[in-house]
Amino acid sequence: MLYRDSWSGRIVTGDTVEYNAATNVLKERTGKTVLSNVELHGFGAQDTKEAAITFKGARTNSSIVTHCSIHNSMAWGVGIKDSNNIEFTNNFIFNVRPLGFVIDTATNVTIDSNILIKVVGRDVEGGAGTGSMSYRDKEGGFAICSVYDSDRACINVTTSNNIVANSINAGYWAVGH
Amino acid sequence: MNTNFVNNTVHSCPEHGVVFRGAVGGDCFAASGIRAYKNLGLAATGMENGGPKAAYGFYNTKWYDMTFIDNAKGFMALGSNQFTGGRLSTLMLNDIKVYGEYAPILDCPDITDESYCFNKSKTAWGINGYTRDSRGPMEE
Repeated sequence: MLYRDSWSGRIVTGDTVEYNAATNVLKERTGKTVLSNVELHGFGAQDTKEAAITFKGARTNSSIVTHCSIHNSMAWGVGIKDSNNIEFTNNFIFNVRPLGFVIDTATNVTIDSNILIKVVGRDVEGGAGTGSMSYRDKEGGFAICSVYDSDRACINVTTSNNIVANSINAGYWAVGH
Repeated sequence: MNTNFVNNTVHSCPEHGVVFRGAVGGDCFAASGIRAYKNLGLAATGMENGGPKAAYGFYNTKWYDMTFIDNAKGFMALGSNQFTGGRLSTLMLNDIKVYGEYAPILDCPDITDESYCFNKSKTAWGINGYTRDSRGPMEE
């Protein structure tokens, strides 16, 4: 079932390279996001890994997300992959699925004093709500460098003072130290 | 791998509070800094399940600085000698506090179908979570 508001937007930060065929010039573009006191309602692409806030390949600049709310997403709340130098503090994430905050392969990331409430399963095959016994989604609240076994490469990733309530499967998937 | 997991809280989850996983290539495994209360599964557990790219065979596992309150299944560090080549593993626990709760639920709605409030048999600590073998790594 697709909902009318199943895709309302994403904020994606990354680095890329542009090629201008006319001038035969390569130009590097580096992404940076600074969000403060912003409400994101219904972001993310339904039942995908396309999170409401995504950092993908953002390796150069520093980004900050603080005092924001992310709620009623049909997908992950936050996804960080192959990215560096991100501060994610004092945010509120509510009603996302089936993972709340995912980080894989990252360097210098601080996740501090965030609140994550209500992470639910998907209602498609594999989702916890379907009762499927053959396959189950990866589900949970904060998934810190531990969702994908091959991607557990994190350096200086700090997860502190966060609160999770009512998250499916597990509130935290965290790596030992 | 260099991660720092401190002073986090998890409560009221229908399943587990926190699952600690091992770092790739690590020889020992430490986890700390969690408060978990009123979760219906395990408050905290550790997995050393093997993956396709590395053997997470930790010989020493250390948990410290954790507080667990009124969780249904307590805490349990899981391991498997399958991934340590059959060698013994050691689990060390320091500064772990476990509290239970057994009291009437005074604010429970006056209904009889137990859909709001119900008593559960609870466990504090799943001792000796190490197994001789396991079913092996899960598929992606």
